[in-house]
Amino acid sequence: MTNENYQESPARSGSRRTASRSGSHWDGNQQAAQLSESLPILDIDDAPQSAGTPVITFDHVSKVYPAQSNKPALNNITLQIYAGEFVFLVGHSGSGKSTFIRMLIREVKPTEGHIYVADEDLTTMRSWRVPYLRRNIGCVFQDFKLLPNKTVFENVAFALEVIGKSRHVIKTQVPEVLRLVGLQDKLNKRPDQLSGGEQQRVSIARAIVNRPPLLVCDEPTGNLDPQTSRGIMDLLERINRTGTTVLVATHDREMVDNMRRRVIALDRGHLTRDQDRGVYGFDV
Amino acid sequence: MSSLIYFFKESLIGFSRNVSTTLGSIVTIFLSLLIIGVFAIGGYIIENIVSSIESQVSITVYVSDNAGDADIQQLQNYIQGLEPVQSVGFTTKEEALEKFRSSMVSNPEIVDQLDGQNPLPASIDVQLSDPQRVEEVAQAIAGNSTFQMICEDPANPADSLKYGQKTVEKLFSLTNYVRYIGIALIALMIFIALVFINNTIRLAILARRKEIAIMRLVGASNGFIRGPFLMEGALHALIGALLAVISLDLLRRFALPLVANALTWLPVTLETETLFFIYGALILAGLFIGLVGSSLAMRRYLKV
Repeated sequence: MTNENYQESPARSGSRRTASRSGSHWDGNQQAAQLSESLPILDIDDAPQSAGTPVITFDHVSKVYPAQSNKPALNNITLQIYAGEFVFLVGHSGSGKSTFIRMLIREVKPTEGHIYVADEDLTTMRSWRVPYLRRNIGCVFQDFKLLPNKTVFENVAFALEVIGKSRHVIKTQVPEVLRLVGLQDKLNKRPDQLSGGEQQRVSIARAIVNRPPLLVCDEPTGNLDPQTSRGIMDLLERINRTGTTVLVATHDREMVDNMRRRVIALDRGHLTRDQDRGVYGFDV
Repeated sequence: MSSLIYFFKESLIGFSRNVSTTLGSIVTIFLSLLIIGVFAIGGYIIENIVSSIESQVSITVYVSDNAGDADIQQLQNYIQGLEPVQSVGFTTKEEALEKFRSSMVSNPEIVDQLDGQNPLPASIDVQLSDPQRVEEVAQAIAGNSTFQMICEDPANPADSLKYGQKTVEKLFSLTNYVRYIGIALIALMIFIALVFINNTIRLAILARRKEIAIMRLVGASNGFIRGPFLMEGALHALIGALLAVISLDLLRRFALPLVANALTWLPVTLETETLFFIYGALILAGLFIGLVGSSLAMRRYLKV
């Protein structure tokens, strides 16, 4: 799987289809195809930048792990990420990127400060609501987290099954999203029959199959070669163009420098830089 | 509804994943419920026996065949006048034979072998309002001169008085022992069953660690994550309980008549409703053990 594949029609139309559904009700192949004819593909420049409502707000957030009480993992972070943004979160290992992401999906709670996702305060959120928060945040990880004994289709379907979606929804949405990530021909393969890049596409497909408004990726290209990484980033960019807010934690310098998106830099728990159209900026 | 089917499917997958531990927990539940059931049914039967004997804490005064009606009437009046006596009845020789015949259901031929003779004496049956005072009443009767005259065995009047106080006391202490042992055994068995279920569910959780992590990630609700494990624990328990009920029923059908025949002098009775009640209670208890065991495991190994 390389770049060129996305330029071909199936993947392309997939992207258009996804574009069409942002903001419109969407329930089936036919309707989607119709819509995709009528709506233009959003260009990068058309994507709403810093427009209106913040999706994520960190308000003086600190996190201290009990094991290292003298060295906070995150120290007094305040920032906002708006709907439709594509944000890179950069920093060395141990700079707090993963803690940042784990707090977003409320795997850990901040020691101090407040985190708001879509106006909901995660620090006071009742634990039974957490699953509903996570349904609105797609997650992609470096190690893919696919189930080895399930096929590609089943892996993606699993995400819908366990939140109680009907079989009908699963049958229509899963092939759709697999077409979007360019794996329409590999539905019945198992993860170990796929390349690393393809596995990451499955994992992305699983993250977005429920159409979350926010997609969070923790080192999505950490295990992949540069060319494959480029393909994954292209895919993330296309997902972003459909209106999904995308947050990518990475230390892939080349990627960040090439894409020129908003960059949030963390260094030993401190927020050191937050710039639009930024670069990676750390000396390696 | 669809998620119930999903839980069911998942718990069946869990069965095949850990066959040995699954069998282990089913067998322990089966054994503990079987023992509980045996004690419950056995206890119930003994309780029945005791209460039937207790209600028989009566004094039977055997009367000689030659006794005159007037004397019998006089003795009856005398006994009726004693304070702890509730009622006095009279059993004729024929009635005594009839009673004997009906108590010998298992081999009625005995009665037929009597060749029309009736060796049984007539008797005065004394019911007491207070079973504790049986001794006192018996002595009063033994001291009565009419009784000494018309009793069945005038040479030895005390032998013509029968009362079962000692049997009752022995049985009472026996049932108490049985009850204590039963409660201790049941507690132990429930504990073992809980440990086994706990362990089985722990293994099931460990085997599905990856799936659980992903379920959490994509926002499966806590109930949905826990469902298959609760279902698995409940299914183990239900299977164990069903096996226990089946075995108990087999025991009741084939072993109980043997016991009843060996102890013909004791009224071994068991009503169908009681039986169904015990079976139902066993199944509920099994379900309870299964659910509690798997909840305990989830509390420790499945943080959601």
